[in-house]
Amino acid sequence: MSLRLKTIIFLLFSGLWACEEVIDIDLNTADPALVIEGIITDEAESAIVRISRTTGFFNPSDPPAVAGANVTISPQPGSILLLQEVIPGVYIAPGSTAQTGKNYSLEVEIDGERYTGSSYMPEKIAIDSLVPEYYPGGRFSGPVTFVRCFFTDPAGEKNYYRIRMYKNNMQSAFYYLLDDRFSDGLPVNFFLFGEAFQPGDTAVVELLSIDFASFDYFSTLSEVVGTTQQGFGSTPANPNSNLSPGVLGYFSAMAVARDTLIIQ
Amino acid sequence: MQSVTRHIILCISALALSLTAMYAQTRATLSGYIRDSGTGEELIGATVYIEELREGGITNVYGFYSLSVVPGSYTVRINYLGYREQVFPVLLNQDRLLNAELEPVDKSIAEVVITAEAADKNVRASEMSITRLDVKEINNVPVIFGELDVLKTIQLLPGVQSAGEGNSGFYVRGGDASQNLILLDEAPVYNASHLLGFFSVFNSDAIKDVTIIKGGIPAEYGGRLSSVLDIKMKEGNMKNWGASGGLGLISSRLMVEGPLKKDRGSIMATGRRTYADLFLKLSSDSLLNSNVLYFYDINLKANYRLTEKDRIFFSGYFGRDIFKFRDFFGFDWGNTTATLRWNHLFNNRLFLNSTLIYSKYNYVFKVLNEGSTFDLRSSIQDFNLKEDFQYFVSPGNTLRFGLKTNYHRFLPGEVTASSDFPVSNIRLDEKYALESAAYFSHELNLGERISLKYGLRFSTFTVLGPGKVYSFSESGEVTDTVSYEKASVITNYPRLAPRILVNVKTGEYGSVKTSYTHTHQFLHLLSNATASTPLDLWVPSSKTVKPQLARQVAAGYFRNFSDNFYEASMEVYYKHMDNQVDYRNGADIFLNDQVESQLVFGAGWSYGAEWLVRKNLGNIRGWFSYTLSRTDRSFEKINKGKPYPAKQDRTHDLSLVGIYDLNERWTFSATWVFNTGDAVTFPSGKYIIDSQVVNYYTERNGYRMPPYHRLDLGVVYQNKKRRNYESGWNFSVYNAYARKNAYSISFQQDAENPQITKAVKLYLFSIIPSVSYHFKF
Repeated sequence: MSLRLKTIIFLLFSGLWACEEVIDIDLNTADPALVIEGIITDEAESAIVRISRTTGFFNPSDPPAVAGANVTISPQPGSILLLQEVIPGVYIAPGSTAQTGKNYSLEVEIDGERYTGSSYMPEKIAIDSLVPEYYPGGRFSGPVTFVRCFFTDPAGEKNYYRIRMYKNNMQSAFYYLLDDRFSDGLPVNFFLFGEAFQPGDTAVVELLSIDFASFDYFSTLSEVVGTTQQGFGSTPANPNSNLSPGVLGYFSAMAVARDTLIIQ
Repeated sequence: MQSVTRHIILCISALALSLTAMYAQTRATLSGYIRDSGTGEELIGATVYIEELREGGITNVYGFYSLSVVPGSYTVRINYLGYREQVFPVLLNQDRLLNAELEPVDKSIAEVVITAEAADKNVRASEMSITRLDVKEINNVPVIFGELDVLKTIQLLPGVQSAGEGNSGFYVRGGDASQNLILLDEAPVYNASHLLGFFSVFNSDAIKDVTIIKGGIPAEYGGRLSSVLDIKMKEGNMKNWGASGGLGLISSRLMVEGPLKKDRGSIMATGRRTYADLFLKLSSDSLLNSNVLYFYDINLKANYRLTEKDRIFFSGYFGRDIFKFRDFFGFDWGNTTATLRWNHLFNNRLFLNSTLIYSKYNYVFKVLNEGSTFDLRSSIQDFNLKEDFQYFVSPGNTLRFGLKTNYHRFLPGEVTASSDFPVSNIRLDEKYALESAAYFSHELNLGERISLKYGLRFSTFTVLGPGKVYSFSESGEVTDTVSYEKASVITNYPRLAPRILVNVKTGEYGSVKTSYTHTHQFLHLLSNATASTPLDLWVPSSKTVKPQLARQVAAGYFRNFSDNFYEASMEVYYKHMDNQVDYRNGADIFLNDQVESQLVFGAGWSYGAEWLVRKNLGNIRGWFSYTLSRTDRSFEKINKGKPYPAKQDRTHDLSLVGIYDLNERWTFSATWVFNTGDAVTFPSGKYIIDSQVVNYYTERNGYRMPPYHRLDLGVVYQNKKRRNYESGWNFSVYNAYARKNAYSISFQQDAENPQITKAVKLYLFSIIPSVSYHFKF
């Protein structure tokens, strides 16, 4: 909250004068580093692991995929899932299922090196309702509609949430993250500011219940994706990964609740 | 290191005892106050010189001087730049009181004089790394929006760097902005900026004198690591009632002053209000025009001379920033300070200043929602008592000693919400601490050539209950909680800080000065942004957070030329800072009771050389200042433990200031600044995760922003003087050649083709002309 507030004050004051322009800048190209993204949810056939490497910042092509890895996910308790490479760098487990309330560990082997991480899948929290909120707009923007998501936080336990939103089936670039530090056991009313809808648009909202390590990863990720301003933000850094040793990315077990709203 | 410190302390104590005992012969004392004949205000740093003895002294910050010499018949010369010299024949066969009122020289010449210091003080004084600015000097320097600002002017001095474009925050010799002790009439100011730093809280109409000390910090100051900025408010005219003020594009101000009783007491009040948000009202966009954003501040000072030996002062400051975002939320923040002082002369050689100080910084965030309430508040408060003695043993032999105790009270955050609000009430534990200090310092001339100033400051910082102390594991999880009772001692840090400075004269116009200083800081500011923000959080030292320590050694050569028309200096320094504080990656400090788990600790060091050439007299005046320096930090948990450049690391920092008086009516001025770009973290690669392009960072602060440079121009025009009314115009142009200095550089994906990434520069100000009108009657 604090960063957004700061940005608003800053833009209001400086916005009268501030201007932007694209510039040329020389950046080093670091040695390619390994990137692993692993997800498992309580939905069927959800296990997916993507492996790639970093590339030069101004390189317009996709980062290179890493093929030929051995990838497994093990629930505790439960039997090991072996993942298969379907396209280069993407590994899935057909026919797999997963349950909430369990720990999962990921193991990836590439060229004889082993990389591991684990994640806890919390209980699912249902969405109570999605409510549209209409804004008439002004000179710089026409009328828009934002969405509010209502759900109820369970009392007496630590909960971490991420809301993932889709606008007409496209994943929104906004990160909505919340913990229950201030709302333990209370009804939550989450205003999904940012993603603006027009009549006829479809909003799909996923309420993901995640563990602290995943929450920490997405929080630190949200600070460095999209526009990262050097100046009034914090010093950017790579997100806090729960994988070791020395890889970029994360492994997260999530419980997914979903609801859809068609904007009138 | 510990044993070195002990040795230094022992030596200093022995020296003090032997040197003060040397002056026990028969002496007569000449003492008194030096004042301005027009306003009755005390003059700080006026020289009183006994011609026959070739000895003298200067007035202290209360305008008082005292010279104890062998009885005799003397010629006493009293001087203050910008004032006519007064000469008194004095038969000093017993202790005598000599108060003098100096007459300012004519306006046109007075403006020529831009420094209030003795002409050769630069060379003679037992102080270094110190600059005093007269408000007259500040008035002639062009500034952004035409708003005079002391904090912007000190950034033009060597060793002092701006925290960023249009920012009133400053860095001194590798320290960060929170390591400067900013005092307004002795009260610490916790947040010295308005509107995210574009303005400072110091209204130049209310200010008499500004001193910045970068090194060789005297023992009477403590509590911050890198510098002291000591600001004294005007006392008010003792003779006549008057008013002055200004009307500008962004703000207006008014100052009223006058005698409470002629020559006994006076009062001064100023107010200032910005109206920047009126521009927002011009917008037809409903997102913009219903917002409110402004600040105001009020300064008040009164003083009364009870007897020739007793005088009381009261000064206060109140300032507030107000921000309202449509009908959604309101946010306001600001400082309050109050100082009550009593000057007492026990006799003509012993001067006591007793001070009671209150200082508060707070912010309130409110959600504006009919019927229901949500308030978030946070504050820091200081209650401070100080006793400062000054004992004038003989000319060139002065002893200072004193005591200080400061009670800090922190409210990190409190939320009050009505039941219909989906948030529970939260009150983070208040924290309490007592910061006390005792000090002495001795200033001494050893013969004609060598002078010495040395001292010792003993501080203790005691964290008091009630409170909870958490222990944390490596990953920041709480492993243990211990509760403490009310008023119990949770932890205590005693600290000794030796200070020493040696001045060796190398002839009529030159001197070499060397100093060694320890400073401690017990309060830590958590802020991850360059711009100061109202949400910055001060935390006290605790079991987890150790007091910061800086050790600085500095040496310099000071030389005046052409009969003191030009002064020049070159200084080098090395400073090492321990127990520095930073956030861990992804730290959450907002309403966090265990904020200490979010911090990481490390060290910093800085070294550099500073040059200053200054011309203080004549139609053309100004200075050239250049700093070459390097500042690094090293944290075990940042940058894989490798040292990296601090954000305040600037290799080159150069300022040129020129002022030209064409005649009595017109004054032209220009400043040009150049500095190396800030050390920043840019990506050295990218990857895709969660369907997003993510920047890959390999090195903390491994890149540089483009160099910053800017030219400002100013013209002051004085209207024809009418009997009791003076007025004039200030024209200024900020960034005259419209350089697009980068405020920030961001790395973005192209909107059409997300695979293409680009660098985008944000610059705040192109050329900004402004005009303001000022008056005085």
